Amino acid sequence: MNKFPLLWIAMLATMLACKPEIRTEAELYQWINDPENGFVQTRKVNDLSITVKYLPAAFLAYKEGRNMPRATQKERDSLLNYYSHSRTFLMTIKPEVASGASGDVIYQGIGNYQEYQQRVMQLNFHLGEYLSLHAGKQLFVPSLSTMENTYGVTELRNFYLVFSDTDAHTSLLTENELDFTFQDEIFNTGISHFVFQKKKIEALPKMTELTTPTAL
Amino acid sequence: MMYKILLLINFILLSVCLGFCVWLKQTSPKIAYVRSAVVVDGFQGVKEVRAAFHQKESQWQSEIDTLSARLNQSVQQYSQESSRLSETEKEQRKLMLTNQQAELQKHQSAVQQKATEQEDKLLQGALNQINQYVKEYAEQQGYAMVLGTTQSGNILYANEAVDITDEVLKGLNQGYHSHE
Repeated sequence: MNKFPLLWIAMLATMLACKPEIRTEAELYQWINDPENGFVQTRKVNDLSITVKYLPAAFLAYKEGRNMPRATQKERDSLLNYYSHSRTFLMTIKPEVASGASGDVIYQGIGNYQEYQQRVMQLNFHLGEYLSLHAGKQLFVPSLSTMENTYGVTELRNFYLVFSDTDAHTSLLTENELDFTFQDEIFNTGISHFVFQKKKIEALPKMTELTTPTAL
Repeated sequence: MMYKILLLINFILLSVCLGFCVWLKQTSPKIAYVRSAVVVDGFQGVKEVRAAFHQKESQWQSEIDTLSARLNQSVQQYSQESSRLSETEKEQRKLMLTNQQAELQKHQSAVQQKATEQEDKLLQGALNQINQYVKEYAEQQGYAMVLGTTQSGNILYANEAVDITDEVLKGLNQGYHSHE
């Protein structure tokens, strides 16, 4: 009879020991890119696929820290603290079916140079006007919106979007659901919602010393 | 012996008939229809587009109202002061008011055009979402064709058994606020 509590403790210890841990950079990317883990969501409309990926603070701090090999632990912690006050997303728009001669998403549905010019302007300088993040009753607009220039190398386009607030106790960080909304007036895909659960996106396993750099 | 042979022949014929029926059911194309207006009106994406548009529209309308109120104020001011003005001043003020009115009309039509363009774009996007979902649903359920009924359409009659409007609308709205 007395052995049962010991058995329970042993089982609990085994379960705790099995808690996932990220040891390599490849594992980190694998975790973030697995839709089951709730960091990435995709919608397909009008021959386009729109993917929104949540980039956790630990990931951003790690990526930046990689370029600072001599940084102390205190400096790394400060970097993590810096990224912890905002929410960063990577939105990727790619064609499902090749369009026109080049297949580049930027030319999707474009008929003339004027339309092309307008699209480039919208994507480079006005994308933030079509994006918002709903956290509870509060609505946030991107404080930073950047389109990655691909110089025609890929058919897709990546956009980095940062939502931040000066208030540390804002709903941006405390709400259980983050609703990333894209009100698309550029590619005719309508309004798309990408809902992220706080419980899931904060369940990123502990990262130990990471090795093997790979591309996101 | 004869009885057994007859029984066997009956069994074979029955199996062939059954096989033929199964083959016929599997190879004949599955067709269904949706009531387009019901899907469009009931789709959350369309409702949200309309709400977003109305919000923008009321913002633009309040801008126009402000400009219009300013013009009315200028007209009133002019009618109060006109008796004290010289002919040249009257002409100048009239010209100013005409220009102001023309500007307002120009702004009004520009706003209307912009509003129509934006609504069309957003609504087209929502319709594209519906088309995408119907395509995925048809592929999943093995439909060879999904027809859409409209008031001016060509479908005069279809059995309710092939009406998939409710299933499509339910799936469409469930997937709209994606959680996964």
